[in-house]
Amino acid sequence: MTKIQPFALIFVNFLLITFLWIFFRSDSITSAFGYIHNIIYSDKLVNPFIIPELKYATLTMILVVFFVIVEWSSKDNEFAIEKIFSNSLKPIKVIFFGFILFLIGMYSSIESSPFIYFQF
Amino acid sequence: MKEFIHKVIRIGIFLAIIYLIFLCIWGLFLPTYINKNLKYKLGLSGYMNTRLKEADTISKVDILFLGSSHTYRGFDIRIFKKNGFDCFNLGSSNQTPIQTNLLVKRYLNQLKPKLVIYEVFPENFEMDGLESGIDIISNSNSLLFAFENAKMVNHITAYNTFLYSSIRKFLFKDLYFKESSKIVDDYYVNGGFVQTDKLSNQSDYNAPISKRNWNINKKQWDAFLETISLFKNENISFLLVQAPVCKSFYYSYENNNEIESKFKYVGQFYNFNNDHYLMLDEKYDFYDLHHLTQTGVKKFNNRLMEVIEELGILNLILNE
Repeated sequence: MTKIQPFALIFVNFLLITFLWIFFRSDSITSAFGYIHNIIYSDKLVNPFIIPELKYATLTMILVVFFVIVEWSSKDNEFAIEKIFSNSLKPIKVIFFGFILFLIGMYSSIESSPFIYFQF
Repeated sequence: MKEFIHKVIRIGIFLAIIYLIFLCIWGLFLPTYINKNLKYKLGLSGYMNTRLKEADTISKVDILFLGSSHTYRGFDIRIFKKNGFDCFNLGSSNQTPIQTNLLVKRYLNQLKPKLVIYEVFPENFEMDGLESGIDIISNSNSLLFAFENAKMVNHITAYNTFLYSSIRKFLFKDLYFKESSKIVDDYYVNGGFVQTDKLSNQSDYNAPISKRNWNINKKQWDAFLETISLFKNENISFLLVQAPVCKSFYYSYENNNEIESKFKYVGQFYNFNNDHYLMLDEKYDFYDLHHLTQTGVKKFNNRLMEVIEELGILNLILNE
């Protein structure tokens, strides 16, 4: 197996799972197929970067890449961050854990009433 | 064991510092849509920054107004002043009973009102109070009061905003922030009222709205009852009012009567949506489905003066 192959497999696997989620998240099979139809026949398929909402997906994409790297670097361990930075200096390890803690605090999804007056 | 506890404390402090550093980096340098659980908003069309600063300087009033945007946009203190009453309007955007309760605890003894007019909008009893909490957390110069708000809302966004707001107030001089006296169509009137320049209804007020029900949140209702108990304990007269809204909006709710009886059970309540003497023109007296223009405010406030006289509350204030 060449070095490139595992990454290609991860990418294909990621695409397949994402595609399957359409069926799991849809209200019905009909709406799932409708969604797929729109993906195929929408002009946005040609250039997804023209979607105005793309900026909201930027963060998700960055986080996905970050977590894939973390998972990949610890693929031989039971837990993703079990031995991460174990050979590094303690402050670096604590900064990393602090960053993970921060990501949880900043991006954890907790339900709240919609904002009416605040525009972000 | 002792060594272990020391280590946990050391790491805990270090993690907290790192958390704060990242919070600052995110808040200062990244666009707001990236900051999912951080919603710092210093200064807003609701003028809570100016209002809270002014509230800190006032010592005694005849009438205190509490409630949502219907309050700070609906009770023009100048009209009441003309009638001889010193007033303060402590309304804020989307103010839920949780925030009202905290504001009352903070200002009741200082303002010593003879009468509290508490505008109860059922929608605010449905919410979790996060938006209004963030408004106060971002705009209050008291860290303790901001923290109490975060604690009561108990949401990660409120805590993050509190931490970020505290840092900004001391490191970036947000403590001395001064709101512009005019923001778009609104301007602040001393005493807490916000007047709008809008002259007519910009919403489709005749369009039918699908039927729905008010669903009161228990946490909000408990906070509301606690506030009422505070008034009763301090022997302060209060009147619960429901401000006028467009008919299509009001009648889209099917359980108005049920909600009304709940309020009536708690204390003296007056619903201006059922007041046939208050003649409001939906085109010119509202600027959206549930906010009044200045012409609407005048009609509403003059009618309110009559109502508090009819209910015998006016004499209570005058005789004190």
